[in-house]
Amino acid sequence: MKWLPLILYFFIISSAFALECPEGKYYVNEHFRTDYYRTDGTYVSKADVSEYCKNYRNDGPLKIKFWEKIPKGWPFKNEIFKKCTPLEQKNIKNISYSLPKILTYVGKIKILCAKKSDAEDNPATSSPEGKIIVFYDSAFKMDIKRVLAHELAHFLYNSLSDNEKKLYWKTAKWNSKNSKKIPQTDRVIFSAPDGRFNPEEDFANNVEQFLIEPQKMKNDFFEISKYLELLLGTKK
Amino acid sequence: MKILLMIFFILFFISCSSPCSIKLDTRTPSFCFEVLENFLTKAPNKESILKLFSKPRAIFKDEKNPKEESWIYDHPIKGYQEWAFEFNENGETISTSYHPSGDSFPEFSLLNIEKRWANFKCEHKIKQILMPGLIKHIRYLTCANEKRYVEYNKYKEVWSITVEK
Repeated sequence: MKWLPLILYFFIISSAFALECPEGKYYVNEHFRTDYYRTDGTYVSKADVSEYCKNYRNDGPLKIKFWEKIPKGWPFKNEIFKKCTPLEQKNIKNISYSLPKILTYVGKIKILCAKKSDAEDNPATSSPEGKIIVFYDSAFKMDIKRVLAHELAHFLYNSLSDNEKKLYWKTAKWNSKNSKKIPQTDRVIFSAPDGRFNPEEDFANNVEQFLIEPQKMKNDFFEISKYLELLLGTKK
Repeated sequence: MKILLMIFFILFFISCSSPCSIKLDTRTPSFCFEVLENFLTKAPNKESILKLFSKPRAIFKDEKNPKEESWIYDHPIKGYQEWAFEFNENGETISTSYHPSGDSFPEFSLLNIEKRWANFKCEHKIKQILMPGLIKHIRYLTCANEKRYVEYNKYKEVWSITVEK
């Protein structure tokens, strides 16, 4: 009888925390899986899958596939696509090896080249969900490492965990008054002017500057630099 | 036995304190849901929110209509934004948003919210947003004709819960 309170306590605690995953993993609810074939042809049978914890960002290392045709559902219909030249392809691949692992751990992505963006002064467009990056002619007249880092930073933002994103918002002073509306920030200076419009553009600009001009980034945005050092794993 | 009982009650109260940051002693997930679901009618103005939450960390004026504003409150320990209240030009609350912190799981899990709001005709949707240089997708659960809105990420972690009047 005298152990009853402790038994009760441990019962409550264990039931309250049974579903928690360790840091770096997220919870996947129990579900029914239909059978399917993996891209390598392996058959995966249907099954009742129990709840489990899965790693964030589990897409594997970068595998670039250069594509020529307009991607299915591409919203900017006026853009004219073309084959990336062998030199452009080589440059993009070589530069991807020099980027931090977290930025390139995105699995298979499609890279395309097009003449000109629908948006003004835009060297590239990415679709993190579609795993597509389109480089426009102007991108190859600039520092292509800068452009690729920026686009992959959009992919990274899309795959941040809830807590990583919350920490970025806190560090970079972003606020949401209502999730249906555009977030607002207390900051008045940004690493690039378009960063003031939304947190994902701000994040990509900051990653880009952090990798290309780390000292400038540190001087101008010390707290954000510290956050990125930890996230990107570049802390020495 | 008395010591055991004391330890039990101390541990019990620690374990039952929730991440919901409100001045009241009722810091429970159910109170957070109470604020989300019923606050727009029970505490429909700035004064009543001030009484419960005290002063906001930040106030944002609406760019188009400066008489409309939003109040932002942070998590008392972690410092992340936790609550937001939007007011119209008459000072009436028009929306309440809550950003659950990771440790509040499972009360604010997507599955739990979906079950809780089962009667509000909920639907999972993905919205495409076009920005210069970016095609963004937002995953959300929308209920009660978009009056209840839960945004979540690709891991199905709930980013925010918003209820509009």
